[in-house]
This record gives sequence, structure tokens and C-alpha cells, in this order.
Amino acid sequence: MICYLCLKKRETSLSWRRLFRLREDVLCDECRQSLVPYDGKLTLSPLRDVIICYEYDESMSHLLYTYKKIGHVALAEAFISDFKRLAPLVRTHDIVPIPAHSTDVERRKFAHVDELLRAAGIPYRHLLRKRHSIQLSAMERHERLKQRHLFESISSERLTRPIVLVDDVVTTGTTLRQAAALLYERGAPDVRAFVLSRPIHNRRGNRANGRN
Amino acid sequence: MKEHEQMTIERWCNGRLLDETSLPYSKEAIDEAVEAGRLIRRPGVVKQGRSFRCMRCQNEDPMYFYTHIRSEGEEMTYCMHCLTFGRSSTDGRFVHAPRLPIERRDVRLAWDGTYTTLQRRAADEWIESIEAGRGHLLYAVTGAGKTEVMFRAVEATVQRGGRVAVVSPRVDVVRELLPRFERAFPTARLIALYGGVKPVPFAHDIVLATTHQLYRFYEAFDAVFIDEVDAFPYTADETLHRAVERSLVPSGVVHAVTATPSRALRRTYEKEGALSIIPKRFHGYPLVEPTYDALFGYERALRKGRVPRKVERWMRRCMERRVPYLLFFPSIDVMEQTEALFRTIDPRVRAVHSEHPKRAERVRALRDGKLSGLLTSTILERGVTISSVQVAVLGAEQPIFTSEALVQIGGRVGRSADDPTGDFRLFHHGITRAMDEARRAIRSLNKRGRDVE
Repeated sequence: MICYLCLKKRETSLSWRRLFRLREDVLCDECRQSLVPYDGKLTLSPLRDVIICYEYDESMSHLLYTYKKIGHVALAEAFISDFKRLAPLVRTHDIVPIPAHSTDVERRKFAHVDELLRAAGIPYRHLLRKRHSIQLSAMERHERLKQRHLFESISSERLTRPIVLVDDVVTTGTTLRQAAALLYERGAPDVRAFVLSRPIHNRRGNRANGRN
Repeated sequence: MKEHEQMTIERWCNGRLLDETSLPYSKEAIDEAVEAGRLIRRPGVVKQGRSFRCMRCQNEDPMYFYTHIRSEGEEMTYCMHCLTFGRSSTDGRFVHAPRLPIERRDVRLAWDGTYTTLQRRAADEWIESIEAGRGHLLYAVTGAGKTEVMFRAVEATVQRGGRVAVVSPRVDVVRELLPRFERAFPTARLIALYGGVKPVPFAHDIVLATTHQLYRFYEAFDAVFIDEVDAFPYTADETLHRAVERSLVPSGVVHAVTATPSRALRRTYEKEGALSIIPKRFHGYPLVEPTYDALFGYERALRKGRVPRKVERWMRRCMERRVPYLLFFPSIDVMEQTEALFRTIDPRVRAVHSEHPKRAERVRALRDGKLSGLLTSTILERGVTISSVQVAVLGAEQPIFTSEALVQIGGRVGRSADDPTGDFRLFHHGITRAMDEARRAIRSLNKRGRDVE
């Protein structure tokens, strides 16, 4: 067995998890401990709330780079227990991934947010489509806030169920806010978000604030 | 890239196996070259029996493959062993073009230093092997000046129209060798390759690289020189052996250089008459023999938050004499946990290990006298030269200290002519066979050195 992040061999010693055929962590202890749980709250109107799992620090940045840019799709299995938290909502809510641009999917051969949900067995629906192939991650804060019309609706059908938007990183919240606005326009009664990570320190190393 | 617009794809590749998407050529241009038979295209990963095979690193171990099942049911398998080079998958494609003939150029060694008789003899023996078309092993003690001997062998190969790769397990060694090779071979086309270096067209006579970079070469070299052939990761990674093999043309040879060859390695080359031994250091002084110093119960002392008195006394002696020191630890954890403790004895001591971000900086600081000592893992067992350094190993009985490791660690002491001695102390909780083998090897080399010349 190897750790999916550091790619080093792991001890295949007998563990209670193996004996009872429970799923083993795909990350080794060291790599698992390098991921920092998110400490803090994020308020982002018009969304009801945003749940964040981890801090987007250097470890997470490296992990997501390997996952998205190099295409190491196996890493989706590292967050199964995090995304399984959405399971109780599946009966009543629509789980909606923030889409990647279609050419991005073509190039990397997988939709990174979709795969995180698939690995955890969480069913989802696509309700939005990305309009340009812009990389928000490459922009500074003021540029991101200026972005308009990132998304368009896939159909014009009226939405009746509450929605949970899912994404891998939230920084300024621009992406989530625009997506939520479009969904509210289509009649969604409630929009929340579930995001894998968020930076606590911004690029200049200062603590980012809790609301934008 | 103006250069490539005029350069055909096959000339750009020239004996390399590269990811199709990493080439600075359009898909149409690549397709055309493949159709015309000028480029060969292969998938990154192929199914092989019940398992797979990666075309880039030649890994066949199923543990390193991951199969992703796409929503439409299609499967895509990729190799995790060489993931740092990008993804090699059943979908991805690699292209390769055979190497182009090398124009004969006059590449002469411009190095004007002096050689000892032993170095000269080894170089002559090496060139004999090259003329006979076989690989050679240079068994040269630490500090014997093996790089300068290697220059002669590299020159001989390139002069005969051969293309050479000099590979090493560590990036710092590659970086350190580049300026030395540039000065030695001013008319040669040299390149240094290691992680993160941008791909360029391949048109060089001499390539200095980390061993992993050979994943990108396919029948490109006439000779591969493996520096520190007994070091990690080369010893532990089968795919690196395959990479060396595949990077050579069918008539290509493998030369090896080390101060601590295994018996098997020695025998392999000795049988062919392709072994040279330099038992003396460049300055002519013998290797420093280790002193065994019993330190029973050091682990318990450290756990209780005490530095064993013998170690403290040793550190203070070095501090008093104002000589730098290295204290080797068997594990990084123990070292990190006790660093603060050691700093109460010497505020100017710091820890380093392979993953430590400030490693190069701290080694420099020790050399410049800004730090008085370093606590270190086995990462510093090779390659580091610090004048007048004193060395001690804490826990020399631990399995990580193989006889090769101990010989290499001891090789840090006494490297300069103005201070060819020094303390090489093994603090131990029981003497091991490895310790005895190391001491025996050092004594036997010293004896050989005395008998020779």
C-alpha cells in the first residue's frame, strides 16, 4: 500500500480497520495530520451558510495542485468521510457541484468537484454551466470581486428543492455568491454551501476576515 | 521559442521519451510526424497480464497503479510511481524519436590540476575499459578526488563520439558538479537536469542529472556514469535500474563510482578486469579510523530530558577548540524532539535533515563559522566537505548505520590537507557487525594505501 499523497510505501501491518474491513485511510498518518481542519465561520449572503472542512494552507494547496493540475484523481478518496456528511441531506436537497469549464474537464479528463462527491457516494445534479475558462485562482482579490456572469443556468426549469453548492476552495466567495444568485432567481427556496477548504491567511500572509 | 520553429520534432526529442502534451508542437504537427514514421507514439500505461506496466518508469508493481472508473464506465489507469513527472496513464501518450547521429566534435578536458600517481593509474585503467567497450568501477575512498578521475573517462568517451550522462542520487550533487564540469569541458555542450527544470531540445554531449531524469531518455547515451552507486534511492528502486538500462544504446556501458561498493558490485566489475581502487586520499593522509565509545542507556537519558555526559563533554571540547562538529542521529524524530536540549549546551547548534527547508543554508553557516555544530540525519553522510570537522554518531549500533553509512560518515573527517585528522567517534549501546566491518574496511584501505606507491 502506498500513501496517495506522498507516494511512499506504508506499513501493511494488521490493523483493526483491516480486520473488520473498514475503509483504510488512503493517506499515511503524516500526510493526514498535515491537513488542518477549518476553524472559523463564514457568512456569505445570500447563502444561508457555508460549511468548510479544511484550511487552505500550503499542504492543501499542494494536494489540490496534484489533484487538479497533475490529475491525481485517486486523491478524491482522501475526503470520503468529509463528503459523507452530506448524506443525510440527499433525501431533501439537491447537491450541486460548482462546475469546471468543459475544456478543463476535457484536458484533465475529470471534473474535480464531481469526483469528490462520487468517491463518497453522494448523488449530485448539474444545474449550472461555467461561461468562460477563467481562472479565478490566478486573480487578485479586487479583480475577483469585479467578475460578473461567471455562470449560466443549464435549463430554465423552476427549482423546488433546497440546494447545497459544493466546491473545493472558497476565497472571496464570488463564485458561490453568483451561483447562489442564479439559483435563487430560478426559485430555489434555500441555498447553502459545502466547501473543502478556505484560506485563513491571504496571499500577503495576513489573516483573512470572516465575512466579505 | 524561436529555436523550435526551425527544428523538427524528431530533432527536438532526439532519443528521449516525452509526454506528448509537454512538447512545444501542435497536435497536428505531432500526428503528422507519427504518420510519417518519424516519431513513435506509445500510451503511458499498458495492461500487462493482470497488472499494468508504465512506459515511462517501467514500473510493474500493481501497488503503484490506480484505476479510475469514469461515469460512463470507461476505465483509466495511471502510474503513481512517477507521478512527480506528470501523469502517465492508459489515456496519455508518450512520443519518442531515435537519437540522431552525433557530430564528432573535439571536446577536450581543460582541467589543469595535478593528478596523484594513483589517480593517473586509475584513469588509465578506466580508459582501457572504455577502449574495450566495457563499463568500469572506480572504488575511490572519500576525498580521493574521484571527480577529477571521472573527467578523464568522460573525455575519452566523448572524444570517441559518445554521448554521456553522469547521474547522481541527489540534486545538490548535480548542482555542485555543473560548474566543475563547465570549467573542465569548456567546449562541450553541457546540461544539468533535475526536478523542475524546463524541457529543452536535446543536443548535448554531457548530461548531468538526478537518476530519475533518465525516465525521459530512450537509447540516448553511450555511457552512463553512476555517482554514489550504492546510495539511496538507486539501491531501493528497481525502476531506476531499468531507466539506466533503457537510456543506453545497445552497445552502451555503465560506469560506477563509489567509496563503499558492496562485495557483489566489486566482484561483478573485478571479474571483467574493470576495477580501479584508489585507497588514498588526495592529500596522501590516511582515512580517519573510528573510535568506539560505549554509551549505554543513551536513549533513556534522552527520553528523560538529559544529554548524556560523554556527548556533552565531546560537544564542549569541540566548542573550546573552536572546531565545527557534526552529530549524527539514527532518527529524525529523536533529533527534532531533543534539539532544544542540545541547544542548552550549545546555543549555536542546529538540526538538519533531508526535508529540512534550511538545510543548505545551515551547512553553509557551519562552514562559515556562524554555527558551531549540526545535529543531523544520515543525509549529510555524503558529499559534505567542512574543514576541521569533528564527527560523532549517536547510537552507532542502530540498523540505519550500515557499514557503508559509517564509512561515508567517517569520510567527512580530515578532508583538507591542513587538517587531515579529526575525531570520528561512535557512541554506541553495543558494538555491531556493521561497526566492525566499517572499521575493518577503513583499516584495510589504509594498509593498502601504505603499501602502494
